[in-house]
Amino acid sequence: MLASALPASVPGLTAAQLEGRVLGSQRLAFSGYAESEAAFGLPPLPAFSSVTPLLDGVTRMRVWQAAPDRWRVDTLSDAGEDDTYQAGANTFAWDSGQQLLTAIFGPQAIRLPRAADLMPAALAVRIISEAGPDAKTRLLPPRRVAGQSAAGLEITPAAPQSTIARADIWASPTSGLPLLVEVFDRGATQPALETRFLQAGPWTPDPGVLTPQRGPGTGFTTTTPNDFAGVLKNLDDELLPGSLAGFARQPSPAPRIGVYGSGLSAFAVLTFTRETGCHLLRTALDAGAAPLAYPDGTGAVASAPLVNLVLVHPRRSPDTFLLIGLVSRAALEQAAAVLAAQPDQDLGH
Amino acid sequence: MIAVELLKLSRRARTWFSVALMCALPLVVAIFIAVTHLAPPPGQGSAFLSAVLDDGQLYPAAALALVLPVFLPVAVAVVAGDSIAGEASAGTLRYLLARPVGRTRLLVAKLVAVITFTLIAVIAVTVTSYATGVLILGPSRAAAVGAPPGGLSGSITPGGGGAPTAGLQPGAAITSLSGTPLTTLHLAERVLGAMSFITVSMLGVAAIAIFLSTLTDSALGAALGALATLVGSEILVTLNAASTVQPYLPTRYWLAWIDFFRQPIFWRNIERGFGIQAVYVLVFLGAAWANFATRDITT
Repeated sequence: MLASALPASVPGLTAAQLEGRVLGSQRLAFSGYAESEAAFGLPPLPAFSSVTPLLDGVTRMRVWQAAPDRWRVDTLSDAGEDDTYQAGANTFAWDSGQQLLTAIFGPQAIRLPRAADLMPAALAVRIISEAGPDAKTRLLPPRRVAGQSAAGLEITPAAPQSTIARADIWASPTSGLPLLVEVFDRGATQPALETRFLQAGPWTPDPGVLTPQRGPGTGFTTTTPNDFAGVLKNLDDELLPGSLAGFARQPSPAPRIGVYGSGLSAFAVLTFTRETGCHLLRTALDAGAAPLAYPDGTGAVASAPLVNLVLVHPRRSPDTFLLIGLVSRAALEQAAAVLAAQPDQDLGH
Repeated sequence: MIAVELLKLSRRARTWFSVALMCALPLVVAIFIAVTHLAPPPGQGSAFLSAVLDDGQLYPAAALALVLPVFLPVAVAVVAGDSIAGEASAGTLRYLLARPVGRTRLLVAKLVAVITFTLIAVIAVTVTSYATGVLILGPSRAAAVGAPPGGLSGSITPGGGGAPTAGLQPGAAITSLSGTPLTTLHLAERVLGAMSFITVSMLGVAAIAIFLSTLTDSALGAALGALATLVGSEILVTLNAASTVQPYLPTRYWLAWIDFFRQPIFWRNIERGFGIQAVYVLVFLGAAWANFATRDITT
């Protein structure tokens, strides 16, 4: 507490140098404790029940990283914890509530967001990488974060369609380890998402910490990345347009997920089959999403800082499309109108 | 003087009645759970309560979580609030100080009595709930989804085929919140750590109540004042708008004792909890001493 009150001083660095150090910090071995705070207010869709708590309220996390593909992140609560171990291509997930350790063998091409994505180190690197070379950067005044002086970097995405107005990153000027990340919605003065280390430092890797272990009475199960993808494994193989609302479709690691746009102005289109999709739409409307009416379909829209979400169910199709991403609500509604008018066209047919 | 105060504490029926009540609550909860086999779902209810059906040895931790929010602070506030104000309202304070007994010595003796009461309460709850857990809820059994018969414990080879292949620990008695096995010795160490933390947390309550006890002749008023402080603190702890003052609230780190049961132990909040309680104890006991040492005693 006292250390955080001391004045911050950092050596002279250019924005490009600091950006380079942040990107280079991925290789660091470190440990720490971080908290993220967000107030997105998205409707609590059961299919995404593991994601919504991350986007509303405070998430408490402990991290130990030996290498980019060898780390552990614990999400703490007063009742237990959910831990993720990354061991090369394999992932292990511990759920203290269920007393269950799940091994996911193989790389996860698609997955839902998880707490580890909110760690300052992971989020800062992702923002810098996704912002691309056209993003504007400038230095911010230094701050003390986690008891150490941190150099500040402001990143403004070049894409005007992005919901992200800017992201402020404070990182250790020597190691480049990001310590604090604030992400701002357009027109907002307060960050919609803030994640910061409260304790961070170099760490000598300890296999005992990074190796998942099983206590007595616990369950153990193995699964494939596809089975662990939750709601993402139940997608329909709908033939999606090459572009939507002016956003071109990009190659996706999962062919059933359409990714439109790029970097920090992108959205995904997920196609749900009859029962799952209708249930999602009903739940979203019950949870306070605004109804949408198209000549060729019905839907719902939920706006949150940074993220917008539209569900649309075409009259001529049994499918329901979920559009979610970092683009404006108007752009998503425009894209949804195109999908509402689209006849059912599965790739396999 | 300390011996006299401890004797007085031990001779009061109220002392043992309140300790018995604190021990009875976990017993009643255990009986209900054992009879109905209905524990709160994982992640809900009091800490550790969802796991006690699988492992009765965890019940001391669950019992401490049950008594910590209300029973324990109420009992400590009542005993501490009565320490000086009780003597004053009974008209014995003037005679007590005329023995002659120094006011500082009397205050220290009262404080030792309150600490002793807190320790007795925490130890009694832990010991009786361990017996309750083992006898009523039963010892550890492998009941989780997918668990192999016998509940093997061990580490997983990250690059391997998924079966427990190494690090088997037959001495493992219990599973930490992080899923790792803990031996009986580890468990005992952590329960001791949790008991120490909870006892120190209660000292902050005691210090506030003793300070208020030096301000009034009403023991009830002092106890209620301390409890009002705690209730106010609990409300502010849950209020996002009060985040700037939360690290300094007396109840902010009360639940940090749970962090003893993580692997590795999460020391950050435990250290802060000890630190903030030390500040409350120093400040309020100092204020109590300053007030009591200079006050006109008329009753």
